[in-house]
Amino acid sequence: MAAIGKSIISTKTRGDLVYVRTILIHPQHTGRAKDKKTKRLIPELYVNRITVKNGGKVVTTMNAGAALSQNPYIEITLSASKASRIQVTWRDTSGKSWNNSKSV
Amino acid sequence: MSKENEKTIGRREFLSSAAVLTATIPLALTLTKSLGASPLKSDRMPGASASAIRNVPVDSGVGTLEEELAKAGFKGATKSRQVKLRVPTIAENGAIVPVQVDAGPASKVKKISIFIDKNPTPLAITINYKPDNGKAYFNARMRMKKTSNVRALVVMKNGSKLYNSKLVKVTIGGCG
Amino acid sequence: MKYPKLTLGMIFLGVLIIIAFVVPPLPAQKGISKKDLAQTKGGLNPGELDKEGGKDLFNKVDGKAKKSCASCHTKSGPGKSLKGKAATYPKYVGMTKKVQSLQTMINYCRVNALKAKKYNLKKDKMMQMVTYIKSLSNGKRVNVKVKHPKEKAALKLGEIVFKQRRGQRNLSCEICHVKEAKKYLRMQILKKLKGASAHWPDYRTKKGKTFTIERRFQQCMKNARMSILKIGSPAMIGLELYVTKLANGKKIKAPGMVR
Repeated sequence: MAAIGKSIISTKTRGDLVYVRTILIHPQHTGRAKDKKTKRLIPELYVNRITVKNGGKVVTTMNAGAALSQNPYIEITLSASKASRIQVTWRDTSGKSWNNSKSV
Repeated sequence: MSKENEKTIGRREFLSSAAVLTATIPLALTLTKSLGASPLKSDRMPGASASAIRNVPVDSGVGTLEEELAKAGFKGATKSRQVKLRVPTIAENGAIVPVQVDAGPASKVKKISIFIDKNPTPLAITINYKPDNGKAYFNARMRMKKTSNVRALVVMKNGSKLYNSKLVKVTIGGCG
Repeated sequence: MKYPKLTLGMIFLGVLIIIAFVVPPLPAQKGISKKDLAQTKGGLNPGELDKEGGKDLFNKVDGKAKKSCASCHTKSGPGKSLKGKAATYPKYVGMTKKVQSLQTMINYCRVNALKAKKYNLKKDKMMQMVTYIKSLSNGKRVNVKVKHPKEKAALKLGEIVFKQRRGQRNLSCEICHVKEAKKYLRMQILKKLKGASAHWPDYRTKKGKTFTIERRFQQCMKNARMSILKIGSPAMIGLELYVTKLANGKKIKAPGMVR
């Protein structure tokens, strides 16, 4: 599988809205599953904060639990007249964060 | 004859009793029809008041459903079809359940909270909106532990709260 | 003539019996509806990232010959462009004198042209490379031809593997995917493999990874409690040829997403 932290942003303009879809490669360990080989609980590691910026200004913030599925996928909208350069930042429980950006 | 022996009756009495029995058939059929109406449309949800929300115990000290709903300000929310919640009736795979919420123009919405009732942590995600979003729209793939209700709570800027909820069945799936 | 007295209790019992036998069972939803499936498969596919990973590997210089796959496989180069080529695999390749699947052909090229080590057929690098090369044929139709006598022999072997009942449960591929197709197994429909090969390699949501079709065959065999065949063996190449031939004419769209 592709390395953790790689992401894609895809945008589609429909009428006066820009649909922003983004996906991140991340294992999303909930902290409740056991490793099949070692029989120990896999420690939790999941994305807990997602920030979407448009032209440098914060537009949407999301606080998530472990409920997003593996390789989390998110889709939101932006007003087409205001959308310029979209930047998505994902941050997980270990503090690591990843950025990706795309111009509309 | 019927006076002497109470266990057996004459032909006429037997026939009249059988006629009564046959007449109950349409009653039985209408009863089953009303009971069997759309077993999957169980959209029924506990009422909006906090006291009617069932306390779902969880295994590891994270907030119960009642606590999390109260923290998110669920009290006083009214169920509304304005909150368009789109989830599958049957989820092919509990690890990937698509959840789509559409709550109208983003200028009126402050935030959306999504709850999955029977998950260990019922509060799944909270999204904070700004007018630049255009529409208060959200679409994602979530994990569900077992068959349960998925609720979307929308907190408007003027303080009013709307919600919608639907039942999603989680199956084991076919071979592998 | 003496008859038993019909008491109220007997009437109630009679009503229950009528409900049980005369009234038909309530219709239950058999499986996931098409609308729900479309919603689940909608959205971005993590397999796309494997396609990009494959592209990087394709362009990477590797091996003693100091070349990359891209050095030869250009429009005007000696290897010719690979667009549309994956649609004809598995096939007999003259210079190797064998029937090759995409994977075995990639390894042949690596050993002979790049002078590099083979990729492990089960691991991620091979999967990413196959995903990339297959995606170059997106939009074209599957076009597997069986003309050479070795191809005919491989097809026959594949058919035997497909139809042979093996293992603990005495199952064969044919039983679930042809004879009992369109029936439901725990709310999931058993599919006829008509267009299956056209969208593999696929991202499997259950495992959270992308797999090639031969790896999926192995996982299927494990679930059906059959002994697992080795990837790259003549039996597996024959099976892949047989299943891909069933998809002849379908448009390729790789990578796809399945459960």
